[in-house]
Amino acid sequence: MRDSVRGAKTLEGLSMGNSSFHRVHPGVKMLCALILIVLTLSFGRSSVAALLPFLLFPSLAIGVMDLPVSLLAKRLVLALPFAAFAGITNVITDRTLVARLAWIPVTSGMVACAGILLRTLLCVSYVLILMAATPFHELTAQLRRFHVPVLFVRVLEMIYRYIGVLADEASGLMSAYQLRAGYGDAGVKLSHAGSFVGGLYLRSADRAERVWAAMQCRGFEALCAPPSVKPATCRDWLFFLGICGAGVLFRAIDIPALISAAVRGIS
Amino acid sequence: MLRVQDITVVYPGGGRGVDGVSFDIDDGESVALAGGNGAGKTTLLLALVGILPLCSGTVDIDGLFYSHKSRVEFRRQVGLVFQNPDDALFMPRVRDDIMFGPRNLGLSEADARSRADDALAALGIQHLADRSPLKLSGGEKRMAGLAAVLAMRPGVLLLDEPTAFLDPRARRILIRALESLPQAKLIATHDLAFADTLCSRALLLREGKLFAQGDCRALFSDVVVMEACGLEAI
Repeated sequence: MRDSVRGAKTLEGLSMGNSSFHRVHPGVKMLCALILIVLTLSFGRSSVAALLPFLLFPSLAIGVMDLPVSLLAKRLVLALPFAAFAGITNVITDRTLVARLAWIPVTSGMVACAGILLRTLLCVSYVLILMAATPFHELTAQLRRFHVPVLFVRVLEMIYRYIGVLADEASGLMSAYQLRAGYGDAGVKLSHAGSFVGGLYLRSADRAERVWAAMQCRGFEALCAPPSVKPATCRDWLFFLGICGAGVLFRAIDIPALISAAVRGIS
Repeated sequence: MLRVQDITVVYPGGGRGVDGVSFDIDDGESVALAGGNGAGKTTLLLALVGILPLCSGTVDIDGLFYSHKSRVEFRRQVGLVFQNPDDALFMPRVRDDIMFGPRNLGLSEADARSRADDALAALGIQHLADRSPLKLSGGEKRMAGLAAVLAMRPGVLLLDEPTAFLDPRARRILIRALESLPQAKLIATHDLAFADTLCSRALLLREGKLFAQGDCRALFSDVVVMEACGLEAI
């Protein structure tokens, strides 16, 4: 558990990098991610090949920012079960044959499942890359500038910080249980789960209070004015035009189909 | 000058955490706050920065009285270093933790960074700037927590058990760092040798009340007074 907290902090640590992608204005990066998500989700349920050009964006970001692929992959995998559940439902319910790959029948449900998985992976990767490229306080400051209600932004900040506190306390408490339980590293017994959860709640609430007090002591006010953010430059808007222009192009033109038609035409 | 006049803090359950305590701390003066477990040291420090509400009494620094309205400016001038540095370090990098306060004061990124650099340099921990607080040793966390408060440029530092969790070497480094800081300090501690090294004057708390005050050496060697406060004379 402590490792997973460190992993989350590592992702946040990556956001302190200094690549050209990191230097882009946070608001511009947020807008790009939002537009790419909308464009990705706008494809029909059976679109798979047409989505492939969108893989260029995460690949480009990973290359430019030198992101550890394994770190992103681990987080992408976390999102898969939810998408897989929706996808598998399609495989079961929609068995219309649409093609054959060698001797394997490909049904409409299988194509829809692949589409759902690909769309999920793309959308989650946009968000992860945004987080890895932008410090969290800049993201929330930008949300304030976008006139997102301050209460919503503060709750988001608190949840984000509280998850770390909760996991840290859970890790310590679990170690204490395991060291005295006499059953190895198998976790907390079901019969102890009630006192574990109760204890965890009290400890993490107490710790969260202390963190909150420390924040207040250093001038944090729940309803203070949004922190100053530098305005976007021409370079930032060029980045926006490049990314979103390419996204709109990939949405409007089915590039894999064009390539396929060209290859067939040549042969 | 920090002036505390007849302050009382009552816990939600009804018990008195601090009971009618008054004292002054002059500019640049270091004062020890000693007392047994549960004497009210931490409660007093939290009350001085308004984290715990006062039932009665006043606290002011150079004429600026603590109130709901003045709390931001007051907390800029009176910095509290928490007992457990893990509570005060919650950002991904030490530098961001140190810049957290200046950012909240509305300073630009450049000014906040400059303050962070100054605070790191004052404690000689520039090498920690880009490290994750999760990966620091106890002594390093303590220094990072102190730097986070120094970046607010307070006139008075309140330190809650600063030597807790520190090995002798880290303790020595902390003593040197604190000696070099010009701010007035109120240091709540059980470590009387540490207090004796840094402070000229001591306040002894017992059951939330100011039991005795005076010269550190004289007070800490008074067996009767120290035992009455649940402490051991040195």
